[in-house]
Amino acid sequence: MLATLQPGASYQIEALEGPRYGALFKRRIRPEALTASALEGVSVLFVPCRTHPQRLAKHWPIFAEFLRNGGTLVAMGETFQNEWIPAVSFHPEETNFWWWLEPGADLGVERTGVAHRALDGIGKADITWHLHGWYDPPKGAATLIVDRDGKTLMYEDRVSFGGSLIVTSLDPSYHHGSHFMPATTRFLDKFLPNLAAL
Amino acid sequence: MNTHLPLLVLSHHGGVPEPFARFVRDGRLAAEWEWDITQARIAAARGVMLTLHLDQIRAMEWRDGFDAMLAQGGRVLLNGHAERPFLPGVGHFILGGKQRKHLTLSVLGDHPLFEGVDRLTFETRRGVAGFYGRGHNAMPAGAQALTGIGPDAAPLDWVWRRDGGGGVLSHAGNDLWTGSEDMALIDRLLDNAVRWLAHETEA
Repeated sequence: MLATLQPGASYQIEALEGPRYGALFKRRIRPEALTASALEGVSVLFVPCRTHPQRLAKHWPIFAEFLRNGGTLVAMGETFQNEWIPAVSFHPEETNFWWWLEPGADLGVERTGVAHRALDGIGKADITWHLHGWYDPPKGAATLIVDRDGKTLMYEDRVSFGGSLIVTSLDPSYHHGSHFMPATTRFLDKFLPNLAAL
Repeated sequence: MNTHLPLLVLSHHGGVPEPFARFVRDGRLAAEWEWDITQARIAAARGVMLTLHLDQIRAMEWRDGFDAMLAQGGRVLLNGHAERPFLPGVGHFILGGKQRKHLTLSVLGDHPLFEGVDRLTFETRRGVAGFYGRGHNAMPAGAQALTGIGPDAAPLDWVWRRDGGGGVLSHAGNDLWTGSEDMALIDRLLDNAVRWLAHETEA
């Protein structure tokens, strides 16, 4: 069962409750109401883009137990995972919103050769909008998406806590829920149903 | 806590946005984390600025506080899309079209917020339209449209003046201070906003 935290900003309400994806989330949990019992029956927990880390850090023992029990925790971009997940090493970078104005420009974001069901059907054009930062993935983690320099933009960590921890600096639900950047909608059109089917 | 200072509700990571720093430093603006703010704090405020990152589910708990402060002549400046009815008078966000022609801006009315600021320059940033806004929050009867968007000039910005000198100003787009790379222009816009929230200019 796919559940999401619902931090309540307009873009989160639109992305998580709107007609396009709302039915995929079988449970929406306010960060302040997160308990172990709120996660009973949940196999995949989505933490949407731009959830303030201050609303997450105090719940780390609950997230850790969820992972230890085999859950999949999907920590999206601009949640500053290094502030609420131990062992995340994040390097924020200045966002260039304008790279695409040059004819023929290529942001250089790519999937690696590592297959993952969460990314089934997702191509280069669906992960290309802009960058917010990169990670030093923990030893044993699998890098799934990289920038032009090979720096990690998304990885899966199955070794640090048990379960599956998916960490990314991509922030599609913020942009989709704000009604701009069509690539983010294309990404979520695949990514969220994939998560629901994990 | 100084309830007479305009209050910027902080909802986003990173603390006080840089364009606001001087107003906080100069003692003209209070900035507080949204989870430290109670309904009583809202009710006692004379002016409140909300960002597009506001937790609108949390803000539903402040609705009676907004009612009370507006009835007493308080002022609220809302940035963003209304997805919950937390603020009296502000209806649900309505998205406009996505073609370029749907993103044109038009001046429909003057307001102290835009004194000395040419709003039409916000139509594009580096030639790209849509940053300033892409739709509007539904406007209550008696409100005045200030800035229109698209061929039908939907009220992207509007003000709803209330008895007692207060009211609600709705800007249904990205946060006002992100609409331009001309920081002198942004500084003027924010100075206008803070002065309006401090009741130094007409509603």
